[in-house]
Amino acid sequence: MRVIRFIDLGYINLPMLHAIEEAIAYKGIPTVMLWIASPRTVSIGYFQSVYKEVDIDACRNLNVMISRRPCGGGAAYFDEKELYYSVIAKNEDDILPTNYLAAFRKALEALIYALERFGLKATYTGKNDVIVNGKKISGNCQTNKHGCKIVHGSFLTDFDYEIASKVLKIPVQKVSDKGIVADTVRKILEERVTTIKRELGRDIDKEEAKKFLIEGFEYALNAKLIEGKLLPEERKLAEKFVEKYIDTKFIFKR
Amino acid sequence: MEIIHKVEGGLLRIDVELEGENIKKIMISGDFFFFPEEKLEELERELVGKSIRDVKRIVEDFYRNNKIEASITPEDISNALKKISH
Repeated sequence: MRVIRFIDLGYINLPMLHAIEEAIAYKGIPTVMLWIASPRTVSIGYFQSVYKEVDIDACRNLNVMISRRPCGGGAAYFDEKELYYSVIAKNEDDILPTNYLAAFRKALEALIYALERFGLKATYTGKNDVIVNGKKISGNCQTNKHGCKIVHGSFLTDFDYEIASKVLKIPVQKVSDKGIVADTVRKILEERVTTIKRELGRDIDKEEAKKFLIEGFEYALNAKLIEGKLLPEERKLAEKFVEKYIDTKFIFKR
Repeated sequence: MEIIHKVEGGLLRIDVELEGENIKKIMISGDFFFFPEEKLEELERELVGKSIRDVKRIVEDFYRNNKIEASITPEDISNALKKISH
């Protein structure tokens, strides 16, 4: 059976996370990582306009960092309540399919497996989300760097609806049979997003979630995950790559 | 002018300035996927100076020549821009 390096990154800021993913891709060692985002951050997709998606003043007032991802998808709020994963694999290693939807399908099988271990029935939307009871419980994105595919995403053990509703600009008007009605952003988020805590009605131990995710990735990637560390060379590369992700010109480029 | 166009692969937001029928400035943003990512800015540059009538063909050629894999299609982009000709 194939062996894949596993790294528990712990708490990490998003620009450094992207830099580490890129450094791993540069060296080409297949890796699964679990991590927690800190400090709290709004992450916008590569193609999004920060001005249209993010309440920049609210971020300043609430000490929320703004970060642009190297991959597409929508704006999301990240903090310590949630757990995240990354998979980095060389294209020729055949761990993740090259077609982007097929790659999502494969990586997201790990999340569905872990959610099932919590007793939840989860489904893949066919795009980049996993849903439970009709609501998003995991959002995902991917990019290609240095001949590797990088897929990463959220695993919502818990979620801060209140802060997320303050920093994300979400259209509050929707068409209903009563005409156009306005909701609060918080209500919209509660309708669209759920968490394991909300579904099970109990606090979730992140160690339990990590254990299920590791099993999930072993199942989905048909591999054995062996705990390892970043190489000194990868750390050095990450220190270099992080410069572009913290560059305000990059973050505010559109 | 800003066009918001919801498609299967995401929410397309296009900021465009026209001079007659020609595109003077264009920015395509949104929550979609587009690989390789850096090619989107190249596509925007390619559209500048072109007639909005030719968008579909230009984007189709660009996708083919650059082996673009994306959640938005050339048709999505040209349909979004058609909204301004009405």
